[in-house]
Amino acid sequence: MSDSDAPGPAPEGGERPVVLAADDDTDVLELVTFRLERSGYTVLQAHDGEEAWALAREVKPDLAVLDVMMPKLDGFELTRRIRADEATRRIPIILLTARAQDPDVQEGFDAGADDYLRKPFSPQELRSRVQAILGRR
Amino acid sequence: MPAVALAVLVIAALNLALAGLIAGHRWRARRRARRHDRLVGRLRRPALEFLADDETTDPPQLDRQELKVFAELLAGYGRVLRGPDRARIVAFAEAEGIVDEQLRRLRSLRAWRRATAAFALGDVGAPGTAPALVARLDDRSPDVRAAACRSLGHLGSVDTVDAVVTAGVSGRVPGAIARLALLDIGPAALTRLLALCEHERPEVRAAAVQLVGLLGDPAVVDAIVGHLADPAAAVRAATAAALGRLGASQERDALVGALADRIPTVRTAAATALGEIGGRRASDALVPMAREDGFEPARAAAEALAHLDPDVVRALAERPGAGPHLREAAGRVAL
Repeated sequence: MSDSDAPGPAPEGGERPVVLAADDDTDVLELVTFRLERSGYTVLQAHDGEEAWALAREVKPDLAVLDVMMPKLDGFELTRRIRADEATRRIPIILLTARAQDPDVQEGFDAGADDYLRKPFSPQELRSRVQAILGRR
Repeated sequence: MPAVALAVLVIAALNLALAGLIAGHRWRARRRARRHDRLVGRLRRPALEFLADDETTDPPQLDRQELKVFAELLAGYGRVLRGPDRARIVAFAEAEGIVDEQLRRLRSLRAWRRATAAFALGDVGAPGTAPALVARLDDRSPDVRAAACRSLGHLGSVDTVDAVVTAGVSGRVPGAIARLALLDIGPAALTRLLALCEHERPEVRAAAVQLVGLLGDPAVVDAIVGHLADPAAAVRAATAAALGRLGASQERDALVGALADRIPTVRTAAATALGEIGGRRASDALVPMAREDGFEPARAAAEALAHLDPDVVRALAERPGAGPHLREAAGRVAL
């Protein structure tokens, strides 16, 4: 295993942090899942916004990596829902999207995202950001 | 046996043979698809591991069919990756002859094959393929031109900006595809786009100014504001729209001045831009325009006012002589 995919620090108790990954693009979902699992996280997959919202409420993951343009419920609206619900509002959110223009980035942060990553993306950068956010908690 | 009966028998036999051929063809296609799916399932993890492992330089040993599927998987991932992972895909595709094969297909007589190759080259992302893709912007097939343009965006080469803009402006490629390609190239394209803002052809200047606005860098406002005085109305309108999108509040007065342009499309764009920028002076200038100007500019002014201050629009709509556009905007605000 390369250094760039070395597992992140496990939280106390040794449990693997749970990351919710939501994207309707199977290639992205596979890449995110594979890289984060390889880095020591448990990854739950969702293929649309509604599925992600159901998983977020049911599992309350340690972090969510969300696409913006998803069927049924887009990433901005999903972020707003997660922030509005008392049970999920503390879940850190990274938006991962091809909508890379400044107003879109601003809308993502306004909706309540903690970080924003543009597609095409670097898995190493995603992992670093996931680790940085979980390390702050 | 009468001739008619014989003819019927022959036709029936031919039909049967044709049905058999079609059935056989479908069966083979299904078998190929199943084998392809099996290979995808089996090679997905090795492909992900190949990308993830910085220390491995060699891909797994694969036969010809497996190699093709492995390359397809990598190209699919390459579409959404950048950095070392993307470089690894390019190196693999070049070493295995995949890039050369797609370049050969790019010269095929069949348009679908050229289009598929143009698309695949964008997914692989080898920078050296840019000149071949630029040449395909003049292909006789619109599908090939569109695929080449999309792939040039994926390559992200600044050197291809002029060709992409020109293809979009000339209509050889749909404007939306050209814009998307330039957005894929991103801020690196700005310097070239700013140079194209001074192009001799007004349609190129207008497209370049529009794209500068879409790329969203407020630092370029000074470089484009002068185009509010461009001789071509399309350029003036594009400049007003770009200034609004860039939130260029320092150019509010210039946009207020553009509300007096003799061309309605420029006034419309300026009104919409002022709706983005706001400010007292903008509102004061938009009110008479919303009441008195022609249909499109007045409507844009009323919408801009509604965007800036819904209460003001509601109050103005109540007054005598408000006109249809302020009342319509107030109605929308109420909804």
